[in-house]
Amino acid sequence: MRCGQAQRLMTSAVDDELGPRRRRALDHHLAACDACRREIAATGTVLDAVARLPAEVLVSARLEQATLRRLRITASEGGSRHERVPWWRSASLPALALAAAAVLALAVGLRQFDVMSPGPANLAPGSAAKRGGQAPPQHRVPSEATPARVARQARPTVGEPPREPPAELASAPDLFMDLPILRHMEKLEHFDAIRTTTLALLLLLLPLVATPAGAQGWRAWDQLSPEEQRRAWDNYQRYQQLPQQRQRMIERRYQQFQTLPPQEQQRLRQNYEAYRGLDPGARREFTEKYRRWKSDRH
Amino acid sequence: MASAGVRGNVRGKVMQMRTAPGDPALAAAARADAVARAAADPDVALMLRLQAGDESVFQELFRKFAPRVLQLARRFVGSDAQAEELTQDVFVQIFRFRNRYKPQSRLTTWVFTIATNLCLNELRRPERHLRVDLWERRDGEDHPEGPPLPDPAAVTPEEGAATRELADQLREAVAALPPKQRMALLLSRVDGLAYRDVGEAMGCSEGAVKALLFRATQTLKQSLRDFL
Repeated sequence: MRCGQAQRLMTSAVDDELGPRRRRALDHHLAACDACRREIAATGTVLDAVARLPAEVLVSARLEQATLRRLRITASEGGSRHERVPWWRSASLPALALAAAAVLALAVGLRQFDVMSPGPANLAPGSAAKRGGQAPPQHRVPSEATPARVARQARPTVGEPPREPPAELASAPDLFMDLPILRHMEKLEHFDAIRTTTLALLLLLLPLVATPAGAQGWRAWDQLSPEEQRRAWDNYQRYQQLPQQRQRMIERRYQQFQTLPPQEQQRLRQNYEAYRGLDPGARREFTEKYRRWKSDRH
Repeated sequence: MASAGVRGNVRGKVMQMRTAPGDPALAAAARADAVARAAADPDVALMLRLQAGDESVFQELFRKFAPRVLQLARRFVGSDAQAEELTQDVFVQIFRFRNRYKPQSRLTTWVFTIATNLCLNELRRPERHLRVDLWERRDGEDHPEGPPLPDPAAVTPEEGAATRELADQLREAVAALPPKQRMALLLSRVDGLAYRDVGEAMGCSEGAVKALLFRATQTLKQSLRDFL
């Protein structure tokens, strides 16, 4: 055996994964080669050091709970859905052909019906009058009330929080409890710099009236009070309707918020309470000042 | 030798089952084998209970395997948050594909097969977006691995410092290894899997595992030559 060949067997030899014939050949070579004896000793030292690296790490209760929740959701959705046979695979070819023909016939029939019936949906504005029919009364629809916009603006405050919240909500209930703070974080961070003397007075009174929420750090969903769960659920639904870019920004701010010292988090919460307490006129005024402050700053 | 014989017999049975799946005698033999394994291996018993629909055992499985899976993932992907997300993915996969587990193979190997695939996939898409950073230290856990333990072999503070320096250097060197070499090394040396099981987890032959480990060891020896 040559040195190169011996070196290739050393890792397996140290791991005791070498067959008896090769082991004998290697031992025979080592007995005669000083360099390879040093090399196998070095291999042993390195592999022993690797084996001493800890194989386990503490798993937080948070991770366990988040995983188990994901599991429960998976189970309720039909845990082994990946193994289910899709319906189109289980259906026979003639049945599929028949179904396709039926769908086609239905589509053609509907189209015919659609063309023949003079319903208002078929008529362009004014076309009813041209055909001699009675034009439906024209209601002016406000331009901002398009269906997409209505859907985006809908305030999803209805519905009780579910017993099993979505994984995203379960893993970070505090994100959703603090969502309004995160949305207005920059404003709240510099609240003192932007505020007016009236606000300064309000802030002086604030510690007497404000009850900062969520100041207890991360808590699991089950540890929240029903009122807190409702708030987080409500905010979670709002969050789901935000554009993705805005969601990303909130997640970044959430991570940033986590790193702030407790006093700073408390200050932001107090600022938020003060901001929330403003009447609509004062809030508009504050927002205007905030914009000016921001443009001056840049 | 006896255990190798048993392994050989089981492998033979599995091969026979693959070639003649409808044979009732073989199916009965496989069932009997599964029962015997479940009696001998508590992990297999847990998994069989999960397969039978007892979802309450999942927490026990999680507590048993999550510390190792999370550690493997932490060493494998760059961020702790990614490692936590990967660990969740591993256990979701275990649950989803629970019926694919065959008691003929060790549960540890099967779990690490899933973990290995997910870790390697993760490296193929490093830009994966993390929706929520779960790793932020919100529980006040400064040292997830616990405080560094004194090395019992070190007799003087200087030796202790040298050991720590070696450990730091080693961690860096392991992290710098190519993904497959790193995975083979971690599975075999840290998680104690036999080469055959490492090959099964990584979807390659035993010979390929030996080659990966040889290259990994050579690289580590180069990186740590000042300490050798």
